[in-house]
This record gives sequence, structure tokens and C-alpha cells, in this order.
Amino acid sequence: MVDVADAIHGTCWTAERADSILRSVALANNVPEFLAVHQPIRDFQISTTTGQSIDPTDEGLLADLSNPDTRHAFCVVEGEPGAGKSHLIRWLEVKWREGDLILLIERADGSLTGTLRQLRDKLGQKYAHLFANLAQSVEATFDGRVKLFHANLAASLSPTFFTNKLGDEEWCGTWELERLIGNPTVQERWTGPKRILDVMSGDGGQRNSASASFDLDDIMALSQVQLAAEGLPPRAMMLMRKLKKECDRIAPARAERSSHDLLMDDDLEIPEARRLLDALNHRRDFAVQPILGITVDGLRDMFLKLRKALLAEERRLVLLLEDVTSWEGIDGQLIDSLAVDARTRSDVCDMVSVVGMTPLYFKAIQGNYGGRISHVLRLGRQRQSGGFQQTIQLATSDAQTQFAARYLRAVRIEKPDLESWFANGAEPDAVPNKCDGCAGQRACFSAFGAEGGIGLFPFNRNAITNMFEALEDPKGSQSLQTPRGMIQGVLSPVLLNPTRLDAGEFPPLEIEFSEWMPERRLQPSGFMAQIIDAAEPDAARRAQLQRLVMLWGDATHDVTLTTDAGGQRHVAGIAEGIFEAFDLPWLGSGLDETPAGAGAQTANSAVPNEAVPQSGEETTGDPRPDPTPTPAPLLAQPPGAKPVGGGKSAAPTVSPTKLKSLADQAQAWRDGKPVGDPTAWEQLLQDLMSDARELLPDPAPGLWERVFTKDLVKLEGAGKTDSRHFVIPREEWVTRGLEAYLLQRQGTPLQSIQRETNLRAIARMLRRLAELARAQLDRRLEMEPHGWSIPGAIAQLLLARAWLRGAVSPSEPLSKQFQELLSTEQEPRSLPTERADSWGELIKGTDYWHDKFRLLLRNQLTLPLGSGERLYDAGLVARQMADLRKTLRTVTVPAGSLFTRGLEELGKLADLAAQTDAALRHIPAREAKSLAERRDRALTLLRASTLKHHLDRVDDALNQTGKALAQAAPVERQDYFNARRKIAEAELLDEASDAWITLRDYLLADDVPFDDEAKRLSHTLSVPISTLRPTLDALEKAETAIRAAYQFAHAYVETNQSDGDLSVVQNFGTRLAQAASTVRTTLEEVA
Amino acid sequence: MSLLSDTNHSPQRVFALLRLLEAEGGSLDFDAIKTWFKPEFRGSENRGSEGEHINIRQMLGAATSLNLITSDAQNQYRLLGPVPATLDAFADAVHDRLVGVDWGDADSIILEAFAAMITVSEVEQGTAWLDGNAKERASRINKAVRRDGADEEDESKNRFNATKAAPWKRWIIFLGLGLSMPKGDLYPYPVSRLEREIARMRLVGILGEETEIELFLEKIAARMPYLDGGRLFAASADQIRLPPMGRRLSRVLTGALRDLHDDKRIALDTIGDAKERYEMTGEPHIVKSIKGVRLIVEMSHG
Repeated sequence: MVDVADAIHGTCWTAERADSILRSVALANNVPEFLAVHQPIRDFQISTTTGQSIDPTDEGLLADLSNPDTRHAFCVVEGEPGAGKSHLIRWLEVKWREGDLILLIERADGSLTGTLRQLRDKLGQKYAHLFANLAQSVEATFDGRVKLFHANLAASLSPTFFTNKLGDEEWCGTWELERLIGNPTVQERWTGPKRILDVMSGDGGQRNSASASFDLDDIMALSQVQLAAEGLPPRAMMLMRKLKKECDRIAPARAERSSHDLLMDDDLEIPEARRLLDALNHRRDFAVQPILGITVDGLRDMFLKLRKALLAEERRLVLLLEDVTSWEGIDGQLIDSLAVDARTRSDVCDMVSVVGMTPLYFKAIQGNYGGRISHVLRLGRQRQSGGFQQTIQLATSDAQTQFAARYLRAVRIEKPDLESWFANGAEPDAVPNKCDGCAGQRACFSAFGAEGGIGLFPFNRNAITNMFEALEDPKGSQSLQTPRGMIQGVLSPVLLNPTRLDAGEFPPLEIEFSEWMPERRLQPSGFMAQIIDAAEPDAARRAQLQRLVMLWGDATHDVTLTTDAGGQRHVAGIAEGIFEAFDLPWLGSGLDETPAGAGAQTANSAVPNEAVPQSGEETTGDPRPDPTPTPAPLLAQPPGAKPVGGGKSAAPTVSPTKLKSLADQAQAWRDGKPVGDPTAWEQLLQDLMSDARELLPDPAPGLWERVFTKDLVKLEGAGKTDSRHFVIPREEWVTRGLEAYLLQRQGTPLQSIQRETNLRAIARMLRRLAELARAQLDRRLEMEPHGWSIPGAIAQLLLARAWLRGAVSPSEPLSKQFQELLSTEQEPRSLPTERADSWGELIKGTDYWHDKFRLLLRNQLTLPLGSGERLYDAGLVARQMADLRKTLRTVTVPAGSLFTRGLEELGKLADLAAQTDAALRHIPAREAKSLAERRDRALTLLRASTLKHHLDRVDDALNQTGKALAQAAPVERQDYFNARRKIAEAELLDEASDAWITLRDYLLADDVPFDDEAKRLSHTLSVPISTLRPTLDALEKAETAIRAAYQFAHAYVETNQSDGDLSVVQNFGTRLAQAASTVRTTLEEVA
Repeated sequence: MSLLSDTNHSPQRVFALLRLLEAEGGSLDFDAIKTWFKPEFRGSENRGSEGEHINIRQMLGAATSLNLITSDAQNQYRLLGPVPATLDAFADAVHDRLVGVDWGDADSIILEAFAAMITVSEVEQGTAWLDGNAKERASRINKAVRRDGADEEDESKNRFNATKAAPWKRWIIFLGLGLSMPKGDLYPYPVSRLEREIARMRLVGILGEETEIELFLEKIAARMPYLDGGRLFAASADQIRLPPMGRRLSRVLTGALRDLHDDKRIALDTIGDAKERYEMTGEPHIVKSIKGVRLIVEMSHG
């Protein structure tokens, strides 16, 4: 192979020649240069009203229009800005037959004045008089003209203004538009009219076929004036409010789409805005003409006079107008003039006019003038996706390459050679080609490629098409996939800087300077960046390599190494010779060569059955699983699902289409852009986190789901975050890993080395994510600095609760207590309300939370293994349970207030654990003391008697008292009898019953010392509190009743002395003596 | 009995068993263990049952195989030593134990099989061979481990087979030697273990702040014998007739060192005479050969 670096000694063109040739304005080149780069224009769409078919080529069009028999033609050349309208029109001028008066009116500065001046200059002194009365200069500044325009516009909105009605007068009148637009505040603050005049004045030479029509932005601006506008009539105010509403509604869409796009969208409901726009644009010409100084019929008269004069000279007028928008304001008159057909009147000369129009402009005039246009030629075609037209001339990569090749050939030709060619007839097939005699041609063509014998150096075919397709107008106001885009965006940045090639700085940095070249198009994939980083230590040269691979390369994800038929090696579609010519390191080292036609390995090409776990893998039902792959069950998990202990998500839930889109977004995110499609990202990040979770020895079941919710896992820069969020950093290990992960999930075919590199990138990302996730868990779960056992705390809390509710005793085996604390609760058996206050309070504190904690604990203890039977990690809490039993102290917990939103449950757990820790250890002693007091009291009241015996005596005393003195303590006696009935029902008065025997044994038992508080608690739980309480109650009530009866009797004796009937006295004295005797007997016994 | 002959267990279950035994004083009988691990409680969901409590028995079998517990009497199980405080420490302990077992130990197959993964990946110049189905993968690994005279026609008798692959994979991931690749299977990635072993060696002074690559590899091979130069690696390389590596690192070790370098956990020094350096293999990377290793941050060592 010939060494390209040797073969190509520097550049074969100069900056000066490139500068001369690469003119984006068609009329800027001289004729030889213009013809040297002319690419025949073919395959455009053309329709005529003449009935003649025309070959859709530039030659065909010329033949038809310049035919001497053509007496009238009004030809519209429709195309997006830069699509080649001017080029075609100029080419017609260059090629037009002699004899006709040919007037080519350039866009020039884009202003009407400039356009008219051109017309006058081209016609020459001979016809200067025709312009004498055409343009009356207006003695006003620009601001003054804006005011005049505004005032004219307002006046023309009056319903009674025009003699020939426009049709919208009623609507204008309804909303009092004249007063609205004429309002002083609106005049002062609404910028719409000024913008229109700006555009008509050429917009500082930047008009670029922009239409001087009111658009949605103007209406939005008007609606913003509302609040400041005073003195508006109510109807006008009402319209302003409607406009404001409509504009507010479309404001978000406007941020994404152009005003023109929105207007074209019929689904957009902005009826009042549309009507107002129509009203304003219908009146624009009227309002502006006085400002331009052109009378209504001035232009028409001028053309008629010119044509009459030319008729006398028997000449045909050929009017070639590069851009009709330059005529806006009087374009209606112009078109009227062009439409005058010499065949219908004998006083004017024949005329052929060719007028360049944008699709937008053409659409707007079609309704009024469509019938008068004889030829419509379209340089573009509508895209299915909508938006700007696609330029037919450069629709294919071949056409793009051919177009570029002509310029490459031209920039290499020395000026004298070009002029010589032109002087010799400018035969298109004989344009000088420097490549023909170049010694390095073979090596150059082999590396860079050639088109029609023209070397593509320093481009290659990829570079031309990639750069061309990449061009984007950041404002979104025009398509750049046009000849102008090719010249300015593709050829110029490279060809205008030949010195960079000699300096070893190719592809030149200037490519990145263009605002039309999106930054993202220059960012290689992570894998390619890795290759570049490995190959070149110098940052500037790495940037060259990036430009090279992104633009000169084949723009695929797969980095292939191939050898072509000529023995030239290519990496990523770039020939080795290009690296040599640009003095850059070869990037193919270490890559496997991809045989021609061989498909690369898919990321998971041989794992069709791996998507579903093999029988026996990750399952536990059968310890000796059949290793033979079995058909997937009907409800098998989708590919990629790997049920693994720790809660890995069951399936990839992001669709393949979404994955592709996410891959593109991930690239954008890497470059600092935000990501769209938040729902798909949330899901993907969940999948990713789930994969990372598998690497954690402790997958934190039950807690992971709280810390890494969809809402809480975010890519850096993707929305607001706070301390609760897990933010995946925009760092190389993530961007590279994400790229590889998405390719892996898509199953994108990759060559071996890329596949291996990607797998390692995925592994690295998952490992580091797992590390970060672990740190996040520790941080959010307040594990730092000392750590605490969440399951331990829950188990202790639930266990304490179970003890206090009497569900299980601390003296039971721990395994039984473990079962109980996991169990759904039943009714308490410990009569908490009869216990010490702190006993009941502790239970009450966990009343709301215990179920939640129990569920969390069950989750946390789960030890899954595939679909097998679940085991519980009792070892995780057994020690804490034992510790609680031993000390009645809980594990150390952090402050509950440290836990942020989403983890309130843990905050509560910490608080409750702290409360339990503080209170539980005191409860047994307090309760034991309380029980002892009650026991002692009961014994005191029983007065060494059995319950039954004691109460029998009380009954006897009270019954006798009742008989003697019916009014003696009836309430107290009733209370007693009620209490007594209860203990009778509890069989406590049956001295052979278990209830009484248990109570009796408790009452008579000696106090025993306890080793620890748990035993004491256990003991308190064994106390027959359910019988002790009613017993004591009955005893107390008996006491109360006896005391009350005695007091009554005593008082009765004191207050019922009588000196009347002696028999009464005698009778009372007898009963009193009996009653007193009974009570005294009882009390003595009690005492 | 070996760790892989009992397939129905996981490292987490074994560790749970150890912690339980420790909490219960060091020993328990089978019924108590069963009660703890399969508590019957109100409100639980029945998720199937496994006859004869096979999952409990295999968990006990795995722990016994690792020499962590013993059974002095029928159905009575006793801890043989202190229980590591954390799962990480448990992983270290298990790794130490597996590294320390001799060829005759049934559990030797675990790290031998991992060494086989590395050597086969070297022969295949990548891990694409792991895309085969479970049986094919297991067969490749089995062919790359030492023979014990078993009849290879009967796959179930092979030292390594697809049945053993499931529990093996769980242990390999747990030990920090690999991960489950999305849309793939176990991927050999010993970075976490390597980082941990480096930190452990540093802690006890086996590795200094800066170590020449030769010495570094020697130390690593001793602690991680399934990596380049280690006895398990060498045995597998011999088994599959892998050409001598010379002064070249395997793909797996290359990748692991590069990742730790990229993550700034270690620094790979590249400057030195060619004869002092080891070449790295595989993917494009700025570090192509190394002369020494510097430990640049406090590494995780549990």
C-alpha cells in the first residue's frame, strides 16, 4: 500500500481559492466559478398551466421558458431558504439566449428600496424616467415610519374603512379593533409593527427570505400589553383577555416549535389569534405602502410603461427575481404586473418572469394568485415528518457527494485555468480536474474516496454526508440540508483552513465553531472515547480524533475493523490512509477484524434460553434440578428477568423502542443536557438499581424499597433533589456504563472487543452504584457512626409489646416468642388497664405502629431463594431478643427526628424504642409493687378468712341491718352485692374452684427474689390479676357498705329520740338494739 | 458432602444460621433451628413447603461443609468458632477458608471453577463463551478443572456441572468475584474481592504503599490463587494447555486492575523498563503495561 502521508504532500488547494469559490450567495461568484460548481438540477417537481410537459431539469426549464415562442410565463421557483432558487435563477440568466431584456433582481439587502434601486439601475438611464413618480421619499425617521404604519394599521381596522370590503369588518367592529390597535399604550408598547418594518428594511441584511407578516409572536407580544393598556373599550379588553388566554395556552408549545409551525397546526385552538392575524396581514400592504412612498398603482404603471416601450423595440422582457419577499408591501402589485399576459392585450411586450418564493410565502399567495401562475417549480418535497421541505437536489448521499465534489474540484483549480476553461466554452464535461495529473491520486482516492474522478480529500464520503445531515439551525427557523448549508456548514469550515492540515490539526477546530454543528454530534460513544483516550495522550489531538471518528466515520455504535478489496484497513469506516494523511494515530490497534459480511456478535447473541432461568437455577424446590433447558412456562418472565434473592425486579419494563431513545438521551445527558421521558428513565433506573442491589451481601429487604423509590433515584441534573434523593452522578463510570447497559439491554450487535469493554463498563457501573447505594442506605438509615439494628429494634419493640399484652411470657423459649412477635395480634390477656400506668402507656404508644413494624420485620427477615419456601433470618434478631429479655433494654437507636420524609416509620421506631428502653425496665418493679399492695390489702380485708367465709359474714350483717333499717346505706349495699355477684360468677366463692385456689395460692405465697427484671415481669404476668381485681373490689365494697350502714344506724339513734308515744319508743329501742348488736359484732370481727 | 452438593442454600442463609447459633449459646437441635427459621405465626402466607425441611438441612450441610458448625450428636449442631460480625467479614472468612482448602477438599471446586472461568476466557479471548446455555458453560468449566477420574459421560458426576452452577454462582457473587450480567449470566469480575484483599494485606503489612508489580502479583496470587500465577489458575491453565502468560496479565486481572486504577483506588505505575513491566490484555485503555502498584486511598477492609 502506498503511504498516503508520502503521497499527499500537504494541501492541494489554497485558502484564497476556497474563499473565492465557497460563496453561499449564488450571485457572488464570477461566472466561470459559478459554472464550475454548477450541479445540474434534476428531478424537481414542475407543473404548468401551458399544457406542455417539461423535462424536470434545469436545461428543460430553460428550453421552455427561453423559447422565442413563449410570449408569457410567470414561473414560481419554490424552495426553502438556501435551497438553490437563486442558483437556478442565476443559471437561467447566464444561459439565456441573447435578444431579450434580462433583468436579474438580486435579494441584495432585502429591502424594497434596495430592490427598486436595483431595478432602476439595471434598466439604465434610458428608462430612468419610469421611476420618477414611483417612489416618493417619505421625510420621516424609522421611528416615525413605525408610528405611521401603526396608525395606518389601526385606521384600516375600522369596519367602515375600505370601500371594497375585506369580509372581516364585522369581526373587527365587534371587538373594536381600531381602538384597540390605536390605543396609545398599545402604540407605545406593542413591537409588532416595528418588527414588520425591520424585516421589510432587510433586517440589517439578515432577512434571508423572511416574510414580513404578522405572526403568533406578535400576537403574544400584543397580549402582554393588556395589563398596561388603559382606556380600552370593554369589548377590546374582552378580546385582549381572550388573546391572553390563548397565548398562555400555547406558550409551552412555542418554546418547542416555531411560530410558523404552530400556526400551521390546525389542532391548535387559537381562533381569536388566528382571526386577528388575518385581519392585520390583510391590511399590512395598505398600511405600509404610504410609508414606502409608493402609490397604490405606481409599480403597476411603471411595468406597463416599460413593457410598452419594449414592445416598440420588439424585445421580450425577462424578469428574474431572486426573492419575492424583497417586494413585500408592494408584492401584490408586482404579481399583478407579472400576470399581465401580452397575448390578451396588444400594447405590452412579451414577458417571462421567474420568481423565487419560499413555501410559506407561496402558500399564502396561492389563493389570490394561483390562477395567474403559469409554472410552478418545486425544489423541495414535503417530509413525512412535517417541518421544512427536503431539498431534492441534495436528497441522497450520492447527490451530496457529487455536489461537494464539484466544489472540491473547483477550489483546486488555479484561477487562470478556470478562466481559460470558461473562455474555451465552459463545457461542463471539460472542467479542469487537478486530480487527473496528481501523483498521489491512487493513494488519495483509496483513502479518501473519489466521485466521478474527483478526489474527496480532505473529506471522505462519510464526512460529507455526516456533516451535512448533522447541520441544525439552533433557532429552528430554517432547514440547513440545502446547498447553502452544504457550502457554509460542511465545505467552508474544512476548506477555508488548509493550513491546519499542514500543521497536523485536521480535521480543523473550525468545524466546532459553527453554530450549525450541534455539540452532541461531535461526542463519540463511550467505547470510542475509550479507544481514543488509549491511543492519544494529547487533549487537542484527541479532539481531532473525536471530530474524525464522529464525522469521517460510519456513525454506528459498532466499532469495526475491516479491510477493503484494495487492502486498505478501515476502522469505524475511516481508512487508515486518512489517519496517516492527518498525522493521527491509527485507532484500529487491538480491534478484531470483522470479516466482510460477517455480523457482529450481539450483546447476548447466544443466550436465548438464558433469559429464563435454567430449571434449577435460582430455585430451590428441587435440589437436583434438571439442567436440560425446559420450555418457558406460559407466564414466564421476559428475557432478562432474573429472580434473585433480594428483590430483583422481575422483568425489564422499558420497551426496546424506549431503550433506543434512552440511549440517545443518555448521550445527551452525558454532554450536560437534561433527559426527557421521565417515566421511562424512572423505570430504567429502577432496573439498574435492582441489578446493582444484587451485588450487596445484604440487599436490605423492606428498607431498600423505601430508600430507592422511583421518585428518589435521579440522574444528576434531572430535576430538583434534596438529601433524600439518590443522585447518580454524571461521571465517566456512569455515562460509559449507561451506554453499555442500554446496548446490552437492546441486544445490539457488537464486535468482540466492544462487547468485552461494555461488559466491564456495566460491571464497573453496577459495582460503584452498589457502593453508593450502600452508603446511601447507611446515611438515610442513620447507620453512621455506630450503626443500629433496625430489625433488632423492631423485634424488641414487638416483643415488649407482646409481653405487656400477655401474648407471651418472657420465660417462654425465645423461638416461641419469635413466633409470637411475628404473629398478628389477638386480644390482650394481661389486662393492661389494671396495670401500672407505664405498662398501659407503652402498649398504647405502639398501638398504631405495631402492624406496620411487624410487616417491615417480616420483610427484613426474609431469606428468599428463588421460588422456594421462605426462611426467616431469625439470627438477625435472636440476639436482640435475648438481650431484651436479659436486660429489658433495647438496642441503641438514633434520634427519631433524624429520619427524613419517606422514612417516618423508622423515626417513629427509634422514638418508640427509646421510650421502651426508658420505661420497660422499670415496669416489672412498679407492677410488682402495685400487685403487692393489692395483695396485702386483700389479705387485710379478708382478716385471715377465706373469701367466701368473709363475705358470708358481711352478707349476714348487711342483711340484718337491712331488715332493721331499710334506709341504711342502700346504695353502698347494692354496690357491694353487684361486686359480689361478679366474683360469684367467677367461681371465686367456690372454694374448690381453680379460680379461687389460684387466687388463694397467690395471696398466701411468700415473696420470692428475682434474678432479673424479665423474670419479675414474667411473674407479674402470672399473677391472677383477673380475679384479684374483682375480689379486691368486692372486699372494698363490702367494707364500704358495712361502714355506711353503721354510720347510718348511729346517726339514726342520735336523731330519733321521742317523748311521745312510749310504745313507739319501746319498739324502736328493740330494733335498734338488735341492729346495733349485729353491726357491732361485725365490726368487732373486722377489727 | 461439599458446598455445591447442597444446592438449596445461600450465603445469607448460612450466615443467618451462624448468628442464630451464636445468639442461642452456640448450639441448637434441629427442631429448634427449624422453629426459628420456619416460624409458624398467625397472619403468615404459606409459600409452599419443602419436604423433610430440605432447605434447613442443606443450609446446615453448607455450614458444615465450610467447617463452620459441627454435629456432635444426631440432630444437634454446634458452632465451631466465633461468628463474623458482618456479612462482609463472613465473606472474608469464607474466602479465606476456600483459599486454604487443599486439593482433596470437596469445596476446592468452588475457586477452581472460578479459576477455570478466567483461563477459559483467556483461551477464548473474551467472555463470549459464557453466552452458551448453562449446560455448555458448566461443561467448559468442568473441562478446565482438575480431573478426579469421574465418568464424564455422566454429567451429574462431574466435579462441576449445571446443577452445581446455581449455588456456585451465589457464592461467587457473594465473595465479590463476579456479578450477574443483565441479559446474561455470571460475569467474572473479581474487583470487589481484589480491592478487599489488597486492603486486608495492607492492613497487616503484607503490601506497602508502593509495590513492584512482580511482588504485587506474587502476593495477590497467594491471597487469590485463582488469579494469574496462583496455584488454582496454574492448575486450570495446565488442564486446558493455556500457553504460558509470560509477562502478560490475564484479561480478568487486567480489567480488575484497570477499574481500580480508574476509580482511583490504586494507581498503576506505567513508567519503567520493558523488562520490569507486565503487559495488560484486552480492551483499549490508557494503561497498557504496569511496573508497579501504588495504594492511593484508604481501601475498604471491613
